[in-house]
Amino acid sequence: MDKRNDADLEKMKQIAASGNDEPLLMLNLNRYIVGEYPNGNGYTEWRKVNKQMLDASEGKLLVVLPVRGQRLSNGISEQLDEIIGFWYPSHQSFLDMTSLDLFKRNGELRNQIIDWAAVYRCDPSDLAKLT
Amino acid sequence: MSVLTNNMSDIINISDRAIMEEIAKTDDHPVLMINQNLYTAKAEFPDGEFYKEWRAINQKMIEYGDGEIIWSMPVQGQILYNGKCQALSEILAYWYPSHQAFLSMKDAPYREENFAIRKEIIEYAIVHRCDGRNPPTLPKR
Repeated sequence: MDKRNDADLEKMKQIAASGNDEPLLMLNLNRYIVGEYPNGNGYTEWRKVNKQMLDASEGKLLVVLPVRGQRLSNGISEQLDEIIGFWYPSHQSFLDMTSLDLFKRNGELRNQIIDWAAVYRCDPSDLAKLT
Repeated sequence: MSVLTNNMSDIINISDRAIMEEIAKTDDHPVLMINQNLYTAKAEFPDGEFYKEWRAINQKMIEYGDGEIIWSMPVQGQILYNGKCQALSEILAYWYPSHQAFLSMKDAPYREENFAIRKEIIEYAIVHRCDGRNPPTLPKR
């Protein structure tokens, strides 16, 4: 089951309230339960609701990368199915999204299909060169 | 199957290399390597000399394989986990025009130096091989 990191959530709230809020990228590393990815009913439904949630917020789907293998490891090695990048114009915009009903539904669906996951909050400044 | 590289803790996945070699022979296409790194204190990320030296050497090695570093993203936190909570310092994306281009880096002149300095600066790392045919672009505002 997904576990929220409350310490990181507090940091996000501080940044949002600092007067120096800035864009962020949430990089989702996902491994799904067997049979779900990429065509299972649960996965398909989650992606649909996830899109609705993003459409109702300021978030954008930046990248969806199917993972084909693992080239190198130095420590505990978790296999992945997919890496998804979500971009937000500010930390506040992400926090606003968490109050949507669709956010709750998104989480419920994730918990039905996720075998292992991590979501990293990243500085997207370097992505400007992708334009 | 996996194998330790020369004198370090990085473990190359030999099975995955065999898959890449097969793709290079049969249906070659772009590949994107997502690198998740946690640096040692000695690296002093992002401004330390060891870290900067590695990035400079790494850049030369990547260029030998016609690769591009399409992003270097400092990790600022981890908002969610489902399993072990693994701290990271940085996530980098390396794009190569083909699997063969990536494999050709085994002959890169800076390869040994690259891995030698990684031994000093890497505390934890994973490299995921992803489909590179649809590389990321920024959303239109």
